[in-house]
Amino acid sequence: MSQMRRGAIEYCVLALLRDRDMYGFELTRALSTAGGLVASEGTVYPLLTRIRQDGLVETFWEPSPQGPPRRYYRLTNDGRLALETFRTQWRQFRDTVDTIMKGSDE
Amino acid sequence: MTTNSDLDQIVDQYLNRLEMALGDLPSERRQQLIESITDHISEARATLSANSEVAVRDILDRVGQPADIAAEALADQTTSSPLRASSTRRKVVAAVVIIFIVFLVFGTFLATRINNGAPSTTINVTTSTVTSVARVVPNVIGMSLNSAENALQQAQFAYMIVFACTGSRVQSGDVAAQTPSAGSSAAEGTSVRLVTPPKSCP
Repeated sequence: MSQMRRGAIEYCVLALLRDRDMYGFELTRALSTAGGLVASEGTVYPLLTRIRQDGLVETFWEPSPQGPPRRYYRLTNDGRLALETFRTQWRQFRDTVDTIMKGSDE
Repeated sequence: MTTNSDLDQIVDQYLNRLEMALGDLPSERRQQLIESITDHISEARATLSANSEVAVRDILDRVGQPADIAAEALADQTTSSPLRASSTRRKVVAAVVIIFIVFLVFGTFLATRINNGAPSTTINVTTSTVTSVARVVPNVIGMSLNSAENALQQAQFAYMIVFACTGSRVQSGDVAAQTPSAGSSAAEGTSVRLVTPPKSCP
């Protein structure tokens, strides 16, 4: 289960970045507020480093209205492609699991 | 009554524990993670209406146990994607091939020298040039963090960012100081320390 969750969080990050760029704090806050997804906010940062190294996201600095500048994360074309592929596969996977689970209820 | 510096101390203690927990990571990745989490904590503290001890401890609880973060980072190290693994393997193969060629060239060179009866004391000089590549550190002072990041990456350097007030007049988000300094030479992959002022300086 934990492996499946780790795999899915990566794509949840990509999905959050689909419509707008986000900085580390708001990204990890959004994931932790969603509930049941991440163990803690800090555990998201190793994942952010990895998907950045894999070229799925890129980062840039932006001034902040208060305090020091923020490191923003932005989806790359590769990231967008990976997200779309996952969405298709996820729907099929979810539907199949749901069908089988319903069957065993009766 | 807990003062602000007491609260800073609580955060520092947490960051120290995190740094120890991340001991098994390569130093560049460790720095990067600590930098991100330090930023995270200051952003979270900036959203508080009152900076109480309970509130700060709650922020640290949400960030999580250093051991959990370390476990996640180490798991990432071992399960890097196949694409990256193969590119690393290609680099290793390339390095082996280069070393092999160097030896081959040397063997031939030495053989000729020995045949000529000349002493062969030049070996050490050349083997040492193979191990580390020295590069010139570019000047990034006055640049935005984004341009500095690009310039350093192009010159094959890593970097870390420190938010601190210096006497310099540059604005927050621009580089006020750098170590090693521009024009000096450093090994490829060296982490260059960039100092930029936070939003408000006294």
